Amino acid sequence: MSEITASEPVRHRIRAWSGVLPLLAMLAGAFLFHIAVGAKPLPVTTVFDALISFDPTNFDHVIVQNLRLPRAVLALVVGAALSLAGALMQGVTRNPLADPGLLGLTTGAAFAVVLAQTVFGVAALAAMPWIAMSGALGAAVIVFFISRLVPGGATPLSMTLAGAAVSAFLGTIISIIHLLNQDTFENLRVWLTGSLAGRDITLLWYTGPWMLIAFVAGVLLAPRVTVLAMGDEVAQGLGVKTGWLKAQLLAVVVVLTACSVALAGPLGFIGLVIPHVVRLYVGSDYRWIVPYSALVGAAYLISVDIVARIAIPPREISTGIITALVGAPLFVHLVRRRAR
Amino acid sequence: MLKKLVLACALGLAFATSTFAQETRAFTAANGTFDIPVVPQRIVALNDQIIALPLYELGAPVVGSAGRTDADGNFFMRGGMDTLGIDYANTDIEYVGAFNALDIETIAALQPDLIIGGTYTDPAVVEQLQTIAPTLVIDNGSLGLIKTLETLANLSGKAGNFEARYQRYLDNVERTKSYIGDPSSISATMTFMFPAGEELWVYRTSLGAISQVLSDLDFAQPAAVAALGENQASWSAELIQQLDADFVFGFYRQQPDATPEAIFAAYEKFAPGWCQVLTACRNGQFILLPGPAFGSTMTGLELALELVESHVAARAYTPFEE
Repeated sequence: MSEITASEPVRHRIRAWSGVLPLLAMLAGAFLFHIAVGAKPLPVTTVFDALISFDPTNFDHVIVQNLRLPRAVLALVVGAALSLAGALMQGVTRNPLADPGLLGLTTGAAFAVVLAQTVFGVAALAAMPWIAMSGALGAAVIVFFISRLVPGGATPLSMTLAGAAVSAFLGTIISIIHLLNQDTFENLRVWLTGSLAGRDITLLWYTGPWMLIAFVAGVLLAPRVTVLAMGDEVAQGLGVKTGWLKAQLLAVVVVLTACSVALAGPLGFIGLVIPHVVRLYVGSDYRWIVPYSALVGAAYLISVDIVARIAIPPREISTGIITALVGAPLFVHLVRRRAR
Repeated sequence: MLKKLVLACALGLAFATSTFAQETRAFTAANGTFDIPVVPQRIVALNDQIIALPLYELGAPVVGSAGRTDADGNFFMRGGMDTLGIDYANTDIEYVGAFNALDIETIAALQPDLIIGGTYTDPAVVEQLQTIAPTLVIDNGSLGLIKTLETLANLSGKAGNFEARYQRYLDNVERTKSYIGDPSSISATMTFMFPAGEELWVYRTSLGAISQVLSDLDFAQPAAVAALGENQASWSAELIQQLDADFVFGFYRQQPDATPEAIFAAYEKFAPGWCQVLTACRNGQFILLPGPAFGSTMTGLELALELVESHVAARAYTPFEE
């Protein structure tokens, strides 16, 4: 066993800080690239003009301002939110396979939105975040109680299994609603695949403030997640009120997940994959995992959306299909590695 | 007692004879060759729009059909009331489930002598249905509209009805062409949009009656659409200028909330400035047609032809220039 020297935390901190600027540069680059490229090739000067002197009668300007820019913003916000939520969930549950999708939150939020729109006819944009939040929270509570009922309690395995079961159940209910109301369901078909296309950017006015609060809260709570990840007893021994902390973290995760679902539908695997990638660089300190996950997740979803838009023009691929194509094999790899 | 027994046997024999005496013939469908009745008496259609409506229109004895469920939980045949004025409520056709969730027991209870589905029918379900009656899979995607209608007419013993009506349609196509002059100089694009306005589908072919009509009229298509490898594609909003043509067609009334206003708004949401960008739209040549115009019936064909004739031949329009 190597002796831990006083200089190691310092070295770790230097290493962690060293990634911030390159990462911010990468995120800015991805964002600008998202705006600059698309199915229709546009000169850089046109893109620049569209940003600084928008002419609504020039369709090339419309492409940049009204099609690419909103999508880039949505990809940034949703990517950051889902990755941050995934990182917090993995820390608080000490489950490396936890993410908002696997633990049922994403499907819970989607289920609530589908139910509200198709059964109760709720179409108000302002209501969507609240509806999604109630669905995500409901799913989270159900998953937690089911996993508590299992012999051995809420272990990572029992929570993952309960999450999978709840997701499958709610997914089935969504399918039944689809069968019973096919015509009106057509309007949700694209959204349910997880898509940034044609999304109403004004939804950000309703979700943005909540997401901002959740982002800040997540980053502020991150240091205590590191302690929590050592186990409840250790955390309590260090003076952490674990129950209260978990409730706060659950609120943050629910808000971020629900607002993401309201914005872009149920996008999968982002919250699972990104924190793992981040850990490879910053280790197990959640003070760094959480903000890094947000930055990498934002850059990742922006990049994925670029692929979705330009891979096979004139066609467009749903963003959710690309995230699943990338995320699913990685998930299998993580499970196999964990099984060993 | 003996008399009763003899009578029962005679009745049973008579019933069995009538059942088994139904004349059959071999028919090759997409899922194999089957012995089917020469003149089926009880047909179950596993799709409303593609199979039940054309069969009913031909006068075939449809006893059951797959259908849809509306927001109030009522069953209906998509396009039924719009196209032929029929539905479950005003015909003897029984609802047998959705095309992707069929009620096999209900189908069995109808005692069909022929069941017709498509490539969208679950193969496992098709196998189960084979125990009830010959179950044919008709690949309407590869056959095209006319061949599908012809096949359904052939299957149901109504070929004569189809031939007469089809000939009338072809005559009307020639009439429309004579009004237009040189149809190949006219370009048209077929688009499809749901009220959510999240994706735009562009069709090179296989959009039911309307695509058949435009093809029969020899209308041209924009180069990007003609170059599509598949029948249809989800189109990028950035490339909508590639869709510009003399006429751009879209559709409304394909679902309850698909009003003309909602569909126009959906195009604008999908691609802001849509109408300013496309010369067809600027000149009033972006035309929304009612849902039955992309249906799969002779009635749909005739309606689509009439609508195209009135929009293209019966008024002045501004030709599209590259």
